[in-house]
Amino acid sequence: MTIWDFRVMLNREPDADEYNQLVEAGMDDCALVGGSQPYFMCDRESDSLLEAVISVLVQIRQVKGLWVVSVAHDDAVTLGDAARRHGGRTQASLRQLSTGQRGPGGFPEPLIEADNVSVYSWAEISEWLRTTMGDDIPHGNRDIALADAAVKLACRARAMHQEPLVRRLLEVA
Amino acid sequence: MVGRGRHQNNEINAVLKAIRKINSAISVEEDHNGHRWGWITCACKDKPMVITCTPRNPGNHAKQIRQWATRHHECMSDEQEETS
Repeated sequence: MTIWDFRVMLNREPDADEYNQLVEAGMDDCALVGGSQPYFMCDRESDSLLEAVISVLVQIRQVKGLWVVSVAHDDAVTLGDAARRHGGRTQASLRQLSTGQRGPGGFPEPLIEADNVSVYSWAEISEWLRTTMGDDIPHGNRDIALADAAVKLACRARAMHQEPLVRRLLEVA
Repeated sequence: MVGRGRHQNNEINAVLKAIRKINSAISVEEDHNGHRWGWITCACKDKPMVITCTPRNPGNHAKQIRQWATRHHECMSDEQEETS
């Protein structure tokens, strides 16, 4: 199985008890970032990205009145994350490109280096791989876009009290 | 026994130490409550992150802390400009 990294934005920040409830429900692989637009940074092991997102959504829904309002990718990535998102290159290949052992050089600089691990911008890496190495990388991840659209539809249906009808609409469409 | 301000996991502790060293705008506050070990906050006061006591995968939690710190990398230069 693969560990998928993504982020889920919440409708509100869970309180301390709710946070503990979520960790006990299995969200001990996600990090809560609070503030006015709270979200979880998730690293979920699963067969597919969509299944990983679904399993996180199921756990979040265990807390009454808490739900996800959107799903996205984090721009900050390690080379391991970048290799998983790319799908066609290994972490070792990206490391060699980053150190200049292979490729023409000029790989984007890390945004931050802490404790011997570097964090890069996925936007910068993917653009460099597209333009310099000719890699075919789509501009957005299709599974993330699909999950985000489904979550936003669910939020609209909830707000309009039309959840059963929208569920039926998805089944027959 | 683990000293105050020191996470029980060495990997997480190392990344917290490294981030504090490179970014003076970031502070780490130990504040236990159930599964919460504490908070990592930035001088910009925006979006504090919860540090977990027992993450499923400490390496991934350390990575999440680094990702959070990346988003606050520019706050350090802002703070330096304000103090100068």
